Amino acid sequence: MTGKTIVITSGKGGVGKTTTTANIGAGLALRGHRVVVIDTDIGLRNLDVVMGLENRIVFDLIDIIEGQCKMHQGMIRDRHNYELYLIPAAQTRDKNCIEAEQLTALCRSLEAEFDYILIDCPAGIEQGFKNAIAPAHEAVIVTTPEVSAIRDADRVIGLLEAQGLRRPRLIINRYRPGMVKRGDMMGQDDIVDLLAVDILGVVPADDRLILATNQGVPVIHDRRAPSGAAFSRIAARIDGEDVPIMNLEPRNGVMDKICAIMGINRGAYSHA
Amino acid sequence: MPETKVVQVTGRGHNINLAIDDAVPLEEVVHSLRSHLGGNGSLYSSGVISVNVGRRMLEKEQLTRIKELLEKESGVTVSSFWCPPEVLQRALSENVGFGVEVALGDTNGHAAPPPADQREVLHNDPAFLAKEKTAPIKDLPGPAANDAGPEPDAPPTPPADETAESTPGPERGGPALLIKTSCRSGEVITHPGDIVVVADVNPGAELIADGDIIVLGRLRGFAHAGASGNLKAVIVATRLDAHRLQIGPHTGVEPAGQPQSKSQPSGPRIAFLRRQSVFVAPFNGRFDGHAGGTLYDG
Repeated sequence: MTGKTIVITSGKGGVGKTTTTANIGAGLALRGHRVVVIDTDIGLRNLDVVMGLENRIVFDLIDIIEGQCKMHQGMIRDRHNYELYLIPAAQTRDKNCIEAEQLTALCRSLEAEFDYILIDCPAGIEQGFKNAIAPAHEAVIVTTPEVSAIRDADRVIGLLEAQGLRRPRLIINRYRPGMVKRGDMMGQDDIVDLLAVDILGVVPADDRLILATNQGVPVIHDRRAPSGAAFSRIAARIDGEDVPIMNLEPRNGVMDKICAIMGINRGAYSHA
Repeated sequence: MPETKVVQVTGRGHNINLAIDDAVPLEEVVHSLRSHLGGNGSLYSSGVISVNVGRRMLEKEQLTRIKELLEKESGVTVSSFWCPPEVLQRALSENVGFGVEVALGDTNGHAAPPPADQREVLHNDPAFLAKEKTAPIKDLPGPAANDAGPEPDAPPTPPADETAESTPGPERGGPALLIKTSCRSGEVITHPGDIVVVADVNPGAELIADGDIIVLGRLRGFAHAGASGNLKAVIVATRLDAHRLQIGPHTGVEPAGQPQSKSQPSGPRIAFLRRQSVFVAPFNGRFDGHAGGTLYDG
């Protein structure tokens, strides 16, 4: 088995890299793949919290790399009934404790056993970023429709291309179709146009996602959450399935208004 | 006139062209060059020349060696090295840098991929780009530069060469750098001639050219034309949305309070200097003789 290593990065912090990593990991595992997610944000670990695995951590990435435990000891299995494993970051160390070569070697040995290795990249473009992108075959950029996040995404795409990671794919997170329609937010076409990369998916802003994250359950398990549906489709696209990218539009047709008056919840978005 | 296969001398008047076969190993070139210059040393007494390295990918030491050889054996001063823009492009895109003699299949070149962030280095260090990527620095290869520059004291080349072709047509400027991919935030592209970008220049990117800058796309980064002091340099973009421009030493900042690209026409625009200030006007297809335009106050 030869797995594929994908780095999830953004440049700017707080745009949803970790949430995206957890959900894509869960999504690929739900599709029957063996998946391992690696948190490389050493010193600021989060992925374990988002996945609800924080109290199971015994060993971490540094322990594995330094040989203080076996690779399998350092991997935490997800609470759900599928093949998803987490390698958490060390909280008491910093980004300079590992070398890009060590992480690459770890990923190469994981690729022998797993279908997908997802690397949650730290914010910034310093050593932690360079370590995280070194082992990757593919890159996924997460951005929000804000100029600051897009600027950073642009920079990161440039750095990834310099690293030989051609054609990174883009996820637009926290998208608000209503605001886009009013002209208060950049639309997905504008963003794709500016960044000149392929789009992998659009995740609508969704309160249920915040709720799920706080509960430590990836939102992809929430069937009623539009963001979860978006992540399912993103996982399918990563898996090679041809799922069309839809334009998010708020529902405001005649039927929608009638339903709204009658109090029927048809979901805020037609599709994502 | 000693005319080896490797080094061929052509010239007219003050313009002398030493054409060197691109496909010959460097050692042979050095040998032929030395014997040619040794035999005709008195012909070349002084002057400043620029050297076109052609399709060759040369290492830094090799460039130094050629420079030393030329300066020692003749008396000319080598001011710059340059190469065709497509070579520069290839060097950038393939990340071969200047470390490999690709065309010759030199086995002692770096077979392994270059250091990971080489492209970043290339873009982020203007001095590196200008010097090592062997693009023209001061003396453009056009006749304008040649007339002034090389060998004013040296006698013309032997009569036998008078029939040979001279350097290319007049007033066409030096080679331009053609960029076909988006210039992204953080990229700095420096070129001693014109720069043509057939893509967008995103905010945070910088273009610095000694000549003009043409953007067939949206210019939103910083552009500096005429960086070596050419006040006639212009910046043209099909969508000129940059907040800050510079031509020669003069900086222009987009006037405040203008709702961006809503009130003004969206066609191509040109930035030029008038009375030491940067003006931006709709581009009417001409590179000189502008009137009107919006003042971009420094």
